Amino acid sequence: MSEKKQTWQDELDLLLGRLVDEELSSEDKARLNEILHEQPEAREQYHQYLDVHEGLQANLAMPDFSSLDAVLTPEPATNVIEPTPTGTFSRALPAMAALIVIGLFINIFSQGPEAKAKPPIAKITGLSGPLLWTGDGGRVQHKLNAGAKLFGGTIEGMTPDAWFELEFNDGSKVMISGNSMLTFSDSGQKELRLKEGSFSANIVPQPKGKPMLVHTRSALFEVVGTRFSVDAELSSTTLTVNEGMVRATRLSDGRAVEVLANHRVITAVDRELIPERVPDSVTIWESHLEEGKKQDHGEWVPAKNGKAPHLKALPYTMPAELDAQRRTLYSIGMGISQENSPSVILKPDSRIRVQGKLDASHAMWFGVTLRRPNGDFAGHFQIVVPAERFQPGQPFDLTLNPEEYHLDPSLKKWAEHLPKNPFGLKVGTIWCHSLWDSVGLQVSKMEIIAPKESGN
Amino acid sequence: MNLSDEFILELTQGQQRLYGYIFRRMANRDQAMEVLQQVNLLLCRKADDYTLGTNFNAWAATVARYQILSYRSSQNRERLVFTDKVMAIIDEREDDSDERDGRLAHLHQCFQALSDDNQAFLNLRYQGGLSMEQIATEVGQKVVTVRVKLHRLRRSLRDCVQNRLQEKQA
Repeated sequence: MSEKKQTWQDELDLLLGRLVDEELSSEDKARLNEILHEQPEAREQYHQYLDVHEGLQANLAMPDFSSLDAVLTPEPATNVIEPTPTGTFSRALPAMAALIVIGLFINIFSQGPEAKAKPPIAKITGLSGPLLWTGDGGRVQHKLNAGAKLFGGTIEGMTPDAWFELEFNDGSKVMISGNSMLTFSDSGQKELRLKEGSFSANIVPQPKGKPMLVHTRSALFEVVGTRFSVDAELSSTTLTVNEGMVRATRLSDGRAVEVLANHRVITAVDRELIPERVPDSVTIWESHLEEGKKQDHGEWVPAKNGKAPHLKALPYTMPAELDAQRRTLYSIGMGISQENSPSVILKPDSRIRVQGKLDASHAMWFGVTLRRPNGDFAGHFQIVVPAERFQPGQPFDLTLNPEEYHLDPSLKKWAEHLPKNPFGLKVGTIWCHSLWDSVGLQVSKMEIIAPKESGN
Repeated sequence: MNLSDEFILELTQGQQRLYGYIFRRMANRDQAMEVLQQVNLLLCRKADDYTLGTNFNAWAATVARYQILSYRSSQNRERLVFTDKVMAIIDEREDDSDERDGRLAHLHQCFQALSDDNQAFLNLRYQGGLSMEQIATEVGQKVVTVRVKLHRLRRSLRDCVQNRLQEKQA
């Protein structure tokens, strides 16, 4: 192997590194073309390097389906009715998109013959993380796209870092995050049914005599036009009103109250149905797993043989339509703002402490799901902790600095509308997960530690 | 047009591979995504031409190839990474499914043979989707160090895969 040959090979390697890392300059481009053109052996070297890059993406990365958005984007469907694409490719494109959308709606959101004539009632405006959609026809779909229109059905967040936002045709918005399950419909009167978890909503004024109805196991809320959030547990529901007014009815005895802005009410059998002012937020919080499982995501294990109570990670296996290799995500999450507690916010000097155990050294993702003061989704912020921080079979005790957290890359598309850091926002959930490998993740305690100077 | 479940499944499962096919011919992520979007539209439009059970990937690659050429002809040359001649050279390599699967299997083995530190490092880039700057912050190193380390790891994986392929042939 000549010295000259070695030189261009090394140079090509460097250029290929820049190419896959999207750092190729104009000069680099020219040189890359030159080498590939002049050196026949360089072509194989190019393919071998790209094979590795592509293989790493295939083996490690979460699949990116954003380029399929175009074939699911519904907008052209409302504008292009006649499916007769002719002429040039560019002229045919919108019509083609419309055809595809129509075809996919029939396939994905199958409604039965009578429903096909009905217009969609809402569209997806934002989403991330594993979600499961069930249409009216009972058809289950994992792959959803921003912009897709919906005819009504049930949306379910499968892991603590799931997020889904929809907008009804009148501009009213509803959002779920984390492990929540919400059914919605609109047949002239909007109805939501929250089976578990939480959602927040910003509802424009509704038609007279047709308030939006929100059902949970324990309550019915009538919404004329307001901004509010709902947290549902098995025996109680917490309604927090940020703007306007909501009428709340406790189903067990039929008693009803009106809840005004900045107030909340808890509809539980064993407490007075009296709205109270939303308490001021605090900066400390700690889990109490000894009290049992609450709004947590994980398998709760009680204290036994000297071992503290803990949560074991729950698996979520990616469906084949999202990941051909059907890999599994193992996650644990804890709800922070629960019915009897004030909301918790992070400050720049706050710390997040997580205690638990891993059976094997493995990189771990730790994150928080945040809400704005009005209940709107404010993003997931996360940090990746490298494997060397964990000893196999040994407990870990991590104190993490939220300043080092960054926005979940899957939210990149919405980054300009989301906060740049996690501070001053309500913490909805703290979570952690491993990707693809079961590493025996357990968490026995999570804490938000107050900034030192606050003395909180 | 009515797309069957099977077709949608083929289309979604083939996305990563199709992107890889286009990317190595465009050498630019944004342009590859743009072409992939156009190819997806075309594939749906031509869904009736596709016979279920036949090689979807080969069919999709053929459609993608023509779309790449069409895209290139519509763009200012300055925007493209490769000249027409180099593009033609790169395009000579066929997209063989068995070979690709074999390479992926070897790559998996080579990745497993890396130290935990190096696996975690690659995970930050590929699994976590972090930028060079974010990785540098995570690991407390300079961006230039991160860039060099990533490059060396890819190169060592490439050499490992090549060695394994040669051993198998021998």
